Amino acid sequence: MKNIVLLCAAGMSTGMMVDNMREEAKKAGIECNINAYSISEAATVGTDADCILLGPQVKFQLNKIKSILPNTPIEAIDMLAYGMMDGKAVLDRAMAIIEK
Amino acid sequence: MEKNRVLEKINDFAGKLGSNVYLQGMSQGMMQGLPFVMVGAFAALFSGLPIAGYQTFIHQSGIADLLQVLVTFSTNFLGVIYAYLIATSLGQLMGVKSRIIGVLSIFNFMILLPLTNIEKVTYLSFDYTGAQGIFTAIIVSMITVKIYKVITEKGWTIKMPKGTPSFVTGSFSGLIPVFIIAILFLIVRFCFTLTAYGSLFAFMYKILQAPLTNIVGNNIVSSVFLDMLGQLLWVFGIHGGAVVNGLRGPIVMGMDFAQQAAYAAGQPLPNILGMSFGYMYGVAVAYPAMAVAIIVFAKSKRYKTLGKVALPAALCGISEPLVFGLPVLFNPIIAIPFVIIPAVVPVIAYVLTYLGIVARPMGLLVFNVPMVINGLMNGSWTIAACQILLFVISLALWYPFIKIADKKIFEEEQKTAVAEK
Repeated sequence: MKNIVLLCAAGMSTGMMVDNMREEAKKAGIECNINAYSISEAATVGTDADCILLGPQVKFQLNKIKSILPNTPIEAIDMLAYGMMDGKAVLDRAMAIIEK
Repeated sequence: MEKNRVLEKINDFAGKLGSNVYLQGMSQGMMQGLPFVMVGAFAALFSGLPIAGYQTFIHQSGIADLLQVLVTFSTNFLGVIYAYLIATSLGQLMGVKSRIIGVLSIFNFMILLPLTNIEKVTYLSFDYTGAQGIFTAIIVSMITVKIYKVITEKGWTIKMPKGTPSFVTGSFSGLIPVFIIAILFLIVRFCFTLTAYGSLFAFMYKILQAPLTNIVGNNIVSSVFLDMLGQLLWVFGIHGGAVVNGLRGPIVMGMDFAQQAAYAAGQPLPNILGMSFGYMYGVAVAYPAMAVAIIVFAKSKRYKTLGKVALPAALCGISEPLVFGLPVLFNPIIAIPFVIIPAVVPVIAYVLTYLGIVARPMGLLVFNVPMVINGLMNGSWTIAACQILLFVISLALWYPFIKIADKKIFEEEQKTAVAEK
């Protein structure tokens, strides 16, 4: 089972994103764990993640998170997809990163 | 790409600020204290509700005294709670592997507290354990963790022979750091008794917290300025609220705690502004107004869909869908009102409160609770009514900007629709 972790300032707006992504995953029949956390918890929640996505509002911490978790693929979510809370686009992107 | 270079610089700065370990430890610790803040706030609300029959009832039945106990050990005790939570959060961030660091921080905080002896009984006043002790709690936690880390890294601990059970080693390894740190704080306490202030608390309050409260917190001009700064950071895609409130949080929260304590005690409320004021009249009104303005005024499909996606989040004070969906970023026609409207509209609430038309908020921190409801929770229907007024004003102010931005997108949509045919 793939483990996707979303991080933002407090885990609130990514929480909405997670709901939409879970729905899309269910529709597409993809089995995965998707959860949102506060970026301050990155070190603890990120260790067993297959891929970490950062909310665009915390993109400035991308390098810091990368240095904490050098072996995990980490990326910031596309701004427009995030704004529209487009669960499908973000889920597709996450799966693409994991496949790589 | 000039645009990208500016963005990168701002990102760097926000990154540095956001990853400063002391600031992070402080805001994490204060976040963890939220349940206690809420318990105290609700207890204050229920003991202060200005309804005559209700007040007689809770005083005669003794409920008022019980509620006051809750306020005393939460709102008026937050200094102690924060001393623990900030030290443990910071300890974790700085890699201090000690399970007593939080208690040590409380210990040091207490060492500094002024004591009064009356007829052979020692009294500990609550004057500095609550709102007025927050700054000291922050500083004490930071210094405690830092010194503990330095001492253990220098290896000044008692080393037990091999084979000693690890919990025994653990309890002994704290011995020397605790002794050294306790003595240091004792010296600090003694030094301050020699000054006119009498204690570090009085010093911190008079030198730092009170002036900062006047300049930063209790001042509508700087409040508008800081709100604008927070909104402006959003324009660059940075969580502005987190950055700005990370810095002014302790000040404006302290004002709210003072507010709650006064409300519970039935005294006149000391402040107009504070964190709850800022939230209730700021983002709690501004974001829903923005989302509704888009739903009502926009013609393009993209904006209409966005407005519907964004409204529930906006009602909870979450702006991300709006910020990234419109987008606000590098989009002057949206960015300018986005910076100005949420910061300036609350001035109307300030003036109405100043004139006594609208009640002062009792300082109940209610993030993520929709407008009107959080207004009512702050002690008066006049606050909720004022929020509706600000909502209507914001809606009107957004009208021309949404129209202009939408027109461009609507035309593009029409063109692609024609092209697809």
